[in-house]
Amino acid sequence: MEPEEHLVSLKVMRLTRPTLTSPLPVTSDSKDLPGNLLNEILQKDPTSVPGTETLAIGQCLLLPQSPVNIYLGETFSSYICVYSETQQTVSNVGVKIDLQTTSQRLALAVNPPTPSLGPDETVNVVIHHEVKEVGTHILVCEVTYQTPSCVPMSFRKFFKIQVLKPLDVKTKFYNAESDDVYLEAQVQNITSGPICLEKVALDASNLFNVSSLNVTPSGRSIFGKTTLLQPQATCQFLYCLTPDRKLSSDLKSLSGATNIGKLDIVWRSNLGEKGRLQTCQLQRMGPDYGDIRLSVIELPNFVVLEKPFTFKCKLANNSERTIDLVLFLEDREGMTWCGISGKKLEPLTPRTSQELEFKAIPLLPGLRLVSGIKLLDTFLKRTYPYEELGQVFVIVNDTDNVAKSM
Amino acid sequence: MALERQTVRSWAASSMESTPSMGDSIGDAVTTYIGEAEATQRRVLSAGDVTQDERGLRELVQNGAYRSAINLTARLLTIYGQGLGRAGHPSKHSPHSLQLWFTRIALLVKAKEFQVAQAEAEPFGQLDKPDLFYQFYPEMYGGRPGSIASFSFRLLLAELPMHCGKPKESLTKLFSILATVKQMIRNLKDGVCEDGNPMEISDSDRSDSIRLWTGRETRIMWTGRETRIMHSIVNCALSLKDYVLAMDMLGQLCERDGAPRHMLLSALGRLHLQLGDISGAEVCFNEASEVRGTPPDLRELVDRGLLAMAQSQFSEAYTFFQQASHLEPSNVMILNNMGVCLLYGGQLKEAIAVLESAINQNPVHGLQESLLLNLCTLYDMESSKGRRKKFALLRQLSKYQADAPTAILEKLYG
Repeated sequence: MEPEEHLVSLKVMRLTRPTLTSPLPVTSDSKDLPGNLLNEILQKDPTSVPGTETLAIGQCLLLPQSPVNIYLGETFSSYICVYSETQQTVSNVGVKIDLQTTSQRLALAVNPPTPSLGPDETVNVVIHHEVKEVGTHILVCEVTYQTPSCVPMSFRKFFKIQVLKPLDVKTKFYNAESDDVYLEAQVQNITSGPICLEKVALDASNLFNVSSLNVTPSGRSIFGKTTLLQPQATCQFLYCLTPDRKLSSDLKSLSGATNIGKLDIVWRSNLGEKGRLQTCQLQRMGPDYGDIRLSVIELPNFVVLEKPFTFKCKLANNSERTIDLVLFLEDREGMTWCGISGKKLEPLTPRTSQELEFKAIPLLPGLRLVSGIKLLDTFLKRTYPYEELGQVFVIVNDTDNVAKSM
Repeated sequence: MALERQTVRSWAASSMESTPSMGDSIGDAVTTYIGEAEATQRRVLSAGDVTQDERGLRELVQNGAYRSAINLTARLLTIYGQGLGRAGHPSKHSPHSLQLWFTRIALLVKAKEFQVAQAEAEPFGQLDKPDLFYQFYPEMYGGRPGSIASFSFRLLLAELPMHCGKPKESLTKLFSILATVKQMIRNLKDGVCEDGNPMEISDSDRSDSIRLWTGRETRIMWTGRETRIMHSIVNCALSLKDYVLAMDMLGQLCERDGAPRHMLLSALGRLHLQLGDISGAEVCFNEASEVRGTPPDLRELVDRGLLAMAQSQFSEAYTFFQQASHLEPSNVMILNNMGVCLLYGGQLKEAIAVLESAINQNPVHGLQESLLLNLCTLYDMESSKGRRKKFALLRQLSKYQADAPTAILEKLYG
């Protein structure tokens, strides 16, 4: 760094994870020319694992031999060693370690000065810092000391570190009819090696109750014992968010509840190297419910051809006035209504709801849409059409067994 | 067939042409970096110091003088007309010449001369050329069927691409061998020969019991080989970082009759550690100790130490290794692991002291690749005297070891 000669020197080593090594298994049969010699050599190797010598899953720790990438959310660890280059004793050796990121300068270590440092002595500092920014970081190591003739000296060394992005997280929201919100999160490994996802959890905002749909009813992960992600591979997680009861009774605030929560992700890689990331607050597009809202609350999945079935809907008045509505039922292909069209409904007072029951007869088999309901606001002369309210599967055979299995 | 024989001749004779005889790499390094005087002190067996036969070859291998042994294989192959400077001369394969080739290539791998090994192995292909079968030489073997090359040679050649950065190639070859071996085992179970032909029984062992016995013995041998291939597939999957395949294979190995389950579970646990699944590793280690059922032994203590290491609990890890070291004070691997824990705990000097003591206690075992690499890394950190200390290691290596891979030597004088 500086042209002047110093009495102490500084070395820095990044402490990434060690690896497990084992000898290369080269073996032969006793009938081969080398007989059992190669096998015996392998067994005698101090780093081989007795009993499983031919498996290269070692137990001997090897310090990192080549540089390893560092990713956002991982812990940057370094060993800093200051040693004397002289036969004399220097005094008041201080080491200050800073990390300069693109936005700030962080003090990682300030050691109280070592009163005296003899010829073969060292000052050791181990730093750990969870990196919270991507991009270039500079590790600044400053050493101060006094020469035997009490002249204060100092020097600095700089080490550049490039912090990379480890994961790519994509989210999608679905606002369901039931007011539930479904969150689909795709977590992609963009590091250079495989990673193991230790935890992926949705910390929901207090407006919603979250249930993870990534475990089987018995509580096991659907991804198997280990959620292992190869480089570039993506894993998809699904969460169901049910609005708080207070919230769902108030459509205005339900529509305004756009903060969903944060995804908290913990992963590990080489020999337990840990990383942790939290996404920013996830936002959904709040659904626009309008003045009145008709939503299905009960609808059978399977119905029998030419047999009437009933379903229930909830009709909510989301406005500040009492609304008078007329209900029209229009037949669509494959389905006919069983009831009176053009019926005037009870006046609906502001911010209340009522349940409506409908009866229909399916005329064609297969997957059919429930469509053709119309509501007319007699005051505003405005029509609200409801197409594709839900789906039913129309089956042909009318046996008790089938009906029971529904 | 005649054409084939012609081409075969030319490759067999020329394949070693490009490989010069191997020098004493440690001796050369000592001469260059420490001095001639020091180098003359070195005593190492060379190809000329032993009897020029298999016995001499074994003696060299036993002494760890791999490069000298490789040189001796060249001399012995020359006797078969397959050595240096024999291009264009006719040569024939025999079980013995192929054993020499196998030994040579195995030793090249052992000495980590992978590129040379690859180049010399290439003409053998998958050991399926016609002149590598007994049927090719009816005048010599009287119509005996089968391959002249041994199973070990086949496995070695399949593993070779993996050492040269082509693990996928190895994987294909290994699975193909595995399929063949599985078929052979099925044939043996059905009471026929490995190749599916009916067993030929001489008059003397016509009795059913003997026939069954030989069948079972052969089957046990092939089942052992099947295990060995599956181990190679695990190793290959690891170099591909295909942990799913490695876990799957290990799972299959655990299920096999008479498998050393607790050892395999322990290996599976370490595999989980390697990929970062700490809780998975713990489950495996717990299961391994349940299967074994005895109080914690060395294996368990080391595994617990590695688990603590993965959880960044360096002092706990140190304690586990220390307990293991009490059980086996001369175990170099455990001392090495203790040293590594000390470094992560910020105790560089103590780490160096542990590693140095491991070497001084038992130089023959201690001057081991991983330990040397670790110690060099620590020397580089500690002071500007690192180079001098590494030369001291080179001196010790020269005194106690016949051979060392080039990469290690470069680390010592680099």
